[in-house]
Amino acid sequence: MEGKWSFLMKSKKNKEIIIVSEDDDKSTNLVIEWLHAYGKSFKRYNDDSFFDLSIFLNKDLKNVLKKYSNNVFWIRRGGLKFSPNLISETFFYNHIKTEEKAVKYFFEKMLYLNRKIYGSSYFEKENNKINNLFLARESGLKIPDTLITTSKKELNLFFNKYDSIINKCIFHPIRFNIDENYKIQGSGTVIVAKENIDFFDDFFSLSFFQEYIEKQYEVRIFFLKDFFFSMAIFSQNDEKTKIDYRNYNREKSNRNIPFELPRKIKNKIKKFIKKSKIDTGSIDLVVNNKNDFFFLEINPQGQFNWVSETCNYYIEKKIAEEL
Amino acid sequence: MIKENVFLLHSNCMPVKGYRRSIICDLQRHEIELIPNDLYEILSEFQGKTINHIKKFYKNKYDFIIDDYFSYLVRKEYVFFTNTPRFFPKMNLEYNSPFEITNAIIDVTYSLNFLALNENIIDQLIKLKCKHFEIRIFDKFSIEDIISLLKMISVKDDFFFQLGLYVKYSNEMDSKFLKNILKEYSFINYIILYNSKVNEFKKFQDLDDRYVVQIKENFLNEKSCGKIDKTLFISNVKTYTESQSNNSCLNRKVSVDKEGNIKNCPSMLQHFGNIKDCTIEEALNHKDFKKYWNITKDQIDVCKDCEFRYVCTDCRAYIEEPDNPYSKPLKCGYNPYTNIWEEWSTNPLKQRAIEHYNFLE
Repeated sequence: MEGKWSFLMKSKKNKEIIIVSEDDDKSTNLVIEWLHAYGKSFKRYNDDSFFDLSIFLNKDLKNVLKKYSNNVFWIRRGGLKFSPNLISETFFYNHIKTEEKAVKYFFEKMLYLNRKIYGSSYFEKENNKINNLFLARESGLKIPDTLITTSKKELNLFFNKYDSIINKCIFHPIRFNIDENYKIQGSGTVIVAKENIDFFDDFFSLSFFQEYIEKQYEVRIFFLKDFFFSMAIFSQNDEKTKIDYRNYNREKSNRNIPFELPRKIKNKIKKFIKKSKIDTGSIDLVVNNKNDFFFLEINPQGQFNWVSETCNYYIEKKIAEEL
Repeated sequence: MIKENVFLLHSNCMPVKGYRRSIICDLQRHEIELIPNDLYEILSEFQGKTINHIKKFYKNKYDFIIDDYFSYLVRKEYVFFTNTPRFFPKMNLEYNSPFEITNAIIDVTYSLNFLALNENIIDQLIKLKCKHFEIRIFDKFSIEDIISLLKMISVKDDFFFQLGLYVKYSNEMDSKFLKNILKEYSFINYIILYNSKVNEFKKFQDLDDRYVVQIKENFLNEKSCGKIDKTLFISNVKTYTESQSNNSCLNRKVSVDKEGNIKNCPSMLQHFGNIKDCTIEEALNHKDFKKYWNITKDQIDVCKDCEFRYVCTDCRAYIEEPDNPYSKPLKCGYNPYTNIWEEWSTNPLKQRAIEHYNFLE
């Protein structure tokens, strides 16, 4: 497929990088500094800026992306927005957004097939934890035993099999704004106790459970195409971060240090990346006391600046060189 | 598990050996801890070995001390134990920056056209993509003048830079005023109010890492700079890596002194043209402009034996032997051979240099 489409965009003169991000994203700012230094031309679109799009579908498929033949896209945060600002304030904007989404995903896919894009809003928005776990397992990576169920009976059987199990959200973290003063926010990853389960009805809405892995440390990997930057996170010494390093302890941070993935694990991750078609993102692994690596999840638009800074990796420089 | 496993230092904890004692620079938590040289030796010689191996090496004569050392190292989370040391590479000590100039100092004095003069300087710095600059106001400016200066800068939004501001304290500068200024001008990273009534460090809600420092000391002119003090030591990745191959104060720095002379540092005598008839870029191209940029602490007399050499701010403008660019900072009262801090200005050995620089003028 890729070979067949690659003739579509050949011209390399006056290449302009299109960056899609958020106003306050530090990583974007740092990459831009390096782009300045390398004299590469770019244009930045933040989540509120309008992108003028035209796609041509006719008998000559060569023209699909003709307007963008000199562009490379980097979708760092969020996605392209094709509505002029005036429209985003109207009551029908939600409808327009679903229309936009269909085009956006198609556009990203075309760019992907032409190797003209890094990152995507599709993988971020439609990031499916369960599907990713499945693909990771298929790629030969270990995953914690996982149960997605509506049944108390199944949950009890699952619970009895392991020393400890956890629950986390399936798709998006919980965040309800009841009114101005009252907000409900999920607590991230939590340990499920027997008392919690006893409290449930026989059937409940779909929930996600996972065997809790007693960990030696966690590993955060940032990757973009072929380069990988990994960092070990020693979160097991701290009660707060023991279950999930993202329950951050801000007074005394976990030790974070450069990490070198064993080649076998790296190859399996590469396989996963190929299968999932996610070309950039941050992967979380956990390592148990027997040095087994377990895939937990991938965040296609995850933050990497903290990895870059703490490990002195200069990831932003590397990205600017790649774009 | 701990017994069979080998120990490793977390790679962002850097032991640095001094003449009589050493330190561990915790680059992640920004702390500096003193350790004995014996412990430094253990850390540098035996990484990747088990505790038992170390004990045996010392013929089991110091088991008790070694256990003591390791319980300290574990408590501070400087070390960990592993059976896969190959997974944990050393940290890369490369220092890099996208731009030739990373920081600048502008000394501002009052004149009728001070706004236009400084606008010209700031435009040039923005063109050079200088990210951090410090404006030091030695004269007493009115609040209106300071605000007109900030307003002039605030319209230059085509690049993200951070500003540090040195201003003489006056009564109108209360908390409310300072908070408003920080809110209004988001490019201000810090404000230092000299000649204050108190020494105080202030942070405000919703303003992240931005801060105000009030100091009693009166900052009369550029000669007040260059002090070496424990409180100014910085333990982070950037400073540590930069000081491996560069000068931690002068690298990638430009300055414009109060007369408009373009220099590496305002306290230095040598200048490379005046802002009235020369651009900063032209000055930078002078063959001597960068001559101090690569002088590292490892090359400086005395400093090279000091345990603080990679966390120190250094100073090349005021040095003990004015003719020797590799001599110790004059305003450093620390002696790494005795580990004693003393007042530098009364040290009889420094009087000749003090006279040379005319500090009493």
